Amino acid sequence: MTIPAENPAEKTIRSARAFALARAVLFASVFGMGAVACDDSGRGAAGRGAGSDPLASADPPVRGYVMARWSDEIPHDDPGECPEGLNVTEVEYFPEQWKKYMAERQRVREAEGRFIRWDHELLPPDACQDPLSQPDPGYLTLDGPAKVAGLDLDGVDSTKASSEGNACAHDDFTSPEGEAGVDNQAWRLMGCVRGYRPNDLMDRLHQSNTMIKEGGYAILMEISGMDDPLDDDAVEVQFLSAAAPVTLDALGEPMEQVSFTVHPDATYQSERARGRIENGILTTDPIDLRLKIKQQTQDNAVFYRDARIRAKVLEDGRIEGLVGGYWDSENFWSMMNDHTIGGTPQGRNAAFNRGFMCAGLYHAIPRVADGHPDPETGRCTSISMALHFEAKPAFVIRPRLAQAD
Amino acid sequence: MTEVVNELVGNPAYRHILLNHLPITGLAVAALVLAWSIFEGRWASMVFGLALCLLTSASAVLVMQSGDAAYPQLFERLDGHGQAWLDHHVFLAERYGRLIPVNALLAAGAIGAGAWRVAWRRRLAIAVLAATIASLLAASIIAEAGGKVRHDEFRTSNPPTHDSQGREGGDARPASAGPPLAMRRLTEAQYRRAIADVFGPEIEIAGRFEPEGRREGLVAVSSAFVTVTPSGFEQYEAMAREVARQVVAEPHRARLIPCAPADPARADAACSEAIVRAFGPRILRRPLEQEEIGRRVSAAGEAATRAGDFFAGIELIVTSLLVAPDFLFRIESVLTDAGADGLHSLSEATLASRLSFLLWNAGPDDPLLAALAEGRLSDSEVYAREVDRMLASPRFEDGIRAFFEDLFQFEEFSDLGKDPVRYPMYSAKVAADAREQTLRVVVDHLVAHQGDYRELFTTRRIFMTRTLGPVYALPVQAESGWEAAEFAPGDRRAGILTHASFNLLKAHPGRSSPTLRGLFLREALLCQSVPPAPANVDFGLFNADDNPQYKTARDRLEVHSSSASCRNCHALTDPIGLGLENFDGMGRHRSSEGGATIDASGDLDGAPFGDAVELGQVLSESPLVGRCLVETAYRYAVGRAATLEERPLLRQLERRFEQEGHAIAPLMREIALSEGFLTAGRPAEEGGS
Repeated sequence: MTIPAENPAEKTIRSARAFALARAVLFASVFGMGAVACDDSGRGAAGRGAGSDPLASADPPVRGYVMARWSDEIPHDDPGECPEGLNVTEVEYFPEQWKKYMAERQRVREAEGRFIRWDHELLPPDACQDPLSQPDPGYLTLDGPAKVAGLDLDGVDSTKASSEGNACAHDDFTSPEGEAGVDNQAWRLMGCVRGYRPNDLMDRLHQSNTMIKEGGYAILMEISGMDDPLDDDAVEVQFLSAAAPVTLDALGEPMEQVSFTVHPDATYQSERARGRIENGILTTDPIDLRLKIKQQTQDNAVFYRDARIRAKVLEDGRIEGLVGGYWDSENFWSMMNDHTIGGTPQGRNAAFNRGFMCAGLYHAIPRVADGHPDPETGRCTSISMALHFEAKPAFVIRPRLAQAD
Repeated sequence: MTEVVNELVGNPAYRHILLNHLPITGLAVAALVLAWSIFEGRWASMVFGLALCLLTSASAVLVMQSGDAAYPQLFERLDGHGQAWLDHHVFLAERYGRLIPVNALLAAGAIGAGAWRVAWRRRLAIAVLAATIASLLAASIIAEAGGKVRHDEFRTSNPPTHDSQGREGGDARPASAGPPLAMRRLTEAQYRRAIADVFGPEIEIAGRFEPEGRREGLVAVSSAFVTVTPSGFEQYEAMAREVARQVVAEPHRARLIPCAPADPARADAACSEAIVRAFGPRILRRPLEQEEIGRRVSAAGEAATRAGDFFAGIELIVTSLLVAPDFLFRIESVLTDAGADGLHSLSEATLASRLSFLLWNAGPDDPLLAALAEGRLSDSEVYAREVDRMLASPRFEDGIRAFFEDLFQFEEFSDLGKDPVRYPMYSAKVAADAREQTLRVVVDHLVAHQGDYRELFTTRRIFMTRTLGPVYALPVQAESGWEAAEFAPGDRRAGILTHASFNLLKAHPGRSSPTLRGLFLREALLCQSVPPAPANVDFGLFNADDNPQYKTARDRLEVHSSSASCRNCHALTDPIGLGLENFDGMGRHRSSEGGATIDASGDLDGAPFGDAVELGQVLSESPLVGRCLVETAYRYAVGRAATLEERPLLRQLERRFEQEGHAIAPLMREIALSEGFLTAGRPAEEGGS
């Protein structure tokens, strides 16, 4: 989704400064209490929070949030952006080997009650582990125009044709709301993969929010210096991984106002991004973002470069919007393939379930990469991407402050 | 009209109010008329005046009869000071009131004698006038105290107290009139604690306990009125067998069984006796007679022989002890000989159990059992030392926790449930932590810091867990366990009334309940009674909390309680219950309901408050709060409601509680040393019950 650039009604409100302040106070009364994060003073937990008016403080409070949703933006219509069809899997590409493998798999399962490994000798070499072990099967990317959510990361509504000599040049998308210049090459890479098509595997996983609900580490965000949630020209935003997953309520939704201790590895605490709020829309400058991910067969970390957000600060205390940035290509490859169960690589299985071949993906990544050209080779090393997020008020606790009785 | 007459005849309080002016204003008028007739010198006028004196003085008999009849009904409805003034009013009536009917006899005699002897008429009239003025003075003294019973605006001083002999301000230790002994079934918590004390916490107890009920506001009192049903006994037996099985089996055998049999396949009387002596007194909470030891050893030997297993016999011993009435019930008894005041001292075993369950909510420990076995507990100095030892023990916290769990009705947590759509944050863990949170604050404040009980309603100290953090919208540093914290000055929470526990518990599954909350405050914390709701109440409007016309609970309650049948009771509960409306049925703070701002202001019997924090402040300043705790603690200690004769004792306990800064340990000490705790009345059969 894309946040509207400006709401005319709110523009009027902005001009009425006194009314804006009143709204800010009302807003603070709704979400201020829980969102006021614990400071570093080591004071008792209840020392700040409920009852204190954050706007009355000379030192604007630090507000904590936990991501209640964090998912790819997969379009829910299919206007035919993949005229050549969808990518194939190894099953279609190596039908004979896979037929024998599946028969053997079935036999062993029935005879011994176990599954044989994905790196079985009956199959071709596992290209998810060694991408050059198979020939490039060709990989279908979404090359035409499409309406895709995302941010204009480079500030240019570019096309590949108009940017000759620029290895990173690419065709931008248009947002569903009609904004041009959307940079989201990750969708160009995955848009013609069956599992990413509307209502298929990945879309369903995103809809059911499994990334958050079944994740091992909650994703936290801290906003400091926000003394007016509607208009503030100087805030700072930091992303952090928590040491624990989100807490779900009785309806299975991530609970707000929960306290999260941040992950002890400082690698997963981003720099503080400078940001601003205009008419309730929060935007930030770019920062690198590393987040710990543990979900199903994955236990690693994502690395987004020059990530920034554009999101709406809602009156109930939540923040909802987009994270855009450049997904480090190596990390992208790693995230797609570094899955293990009991030490057994599961990248091949994941590729099969999603509908692509690792060998094809490996060769396609440089074709769509659009960010961070290598100064020596000029080769682009990152892929623009966009995520939809919803953040709920929470408390970010630094581990050094922990003091159980 | 018929209703008025019926009310007049059937309601002694009403009769008392209607008639009690006669012995004052009536007597005053009669005295004036009689004085005028003496001045005038006409016999006919004197007879009229004397007749007035006779009638108005005689009315005092009806006034006192109706007052006596109204006493119990009225007493329960009064606040603490009202009760004390009522006691004083009765005391004055008994002391001076008899003078007034005597004046009626005197007036009647004067009329008769004057008709017979003309020369005596004037002197007789003067004598009656003097007696009438004296009666008027007596009636005024009595009425002056009576007027303060219901009108606190007249109370310019504290009411005098009376000892059991009716001596005003007496220092003699107030005595109980000897109410009946109790036979209390162990609560589930006490049963579990007993097993853990004797065999260790590793022993698992699997089974269903009989419902406990609540009487006189306490489970502790209800426990004296419950029995064991056949199915309940089956449960006790099954639990006993399972416990016994674990005790004799590895890995617990080596730790628990104090001796090894000569041959594990055969009976061993010496070892069996050692086991009975080791477990018996601690399970039955008294020394065992040699005869009953022998009986159990014999039964164990027989079982071992039949099974070819020594430990089968031990299992039988343990099982038999755990299903013994002396274990499942706290059976009280008294010594045969009564004291000079007619009271019977409790037997030492009863005393030891009473004391131990009061202070520790558990059976006597080894030192107390030793004192019991040596017969030293009847020595008041030894007993007092035991009281002090137990008060100083860390286990006193267990006793205080148990008392406040009972007072706060926390057993209701076991049946608590919330609508997950309305309160998705609710979970069993939230409920358990909310319960524990309040108990931690209570124990920390009252035991660890020996604080003033009334400050529980204002204290900002709190204990938090990560589970409770979202309910309070507060950060919690500790990833696991509890951490101490403090609400900030000016916070919207302070005092235990603002805890999640009460607001979770005293609410409906899908919404808050000012009425339940107010009822709890009135009955549990102020010891006031609120009549039950009529059977045919229409809750339709109140339940419809999505009604756009009545958005807040206050709006809905105002309409609901506009009917005459609801108004009176809701007037007692709602003004204070609405003070907690800023907390929803989950205990989370809220400023509005249905889009409308919540008005949490109200008054507690005339003391205004603006929100829940101020309600706690007002409650802490109420003289009824401390008094109510004393009464409740006494009920908890003796397992029954206090009798009217015990009112002086309670007043003394209350006074001592005030003098000790409303600290809980001195109160429990005073109760444990009071005659009401140490004695009982005549048992059903001479020699014990």
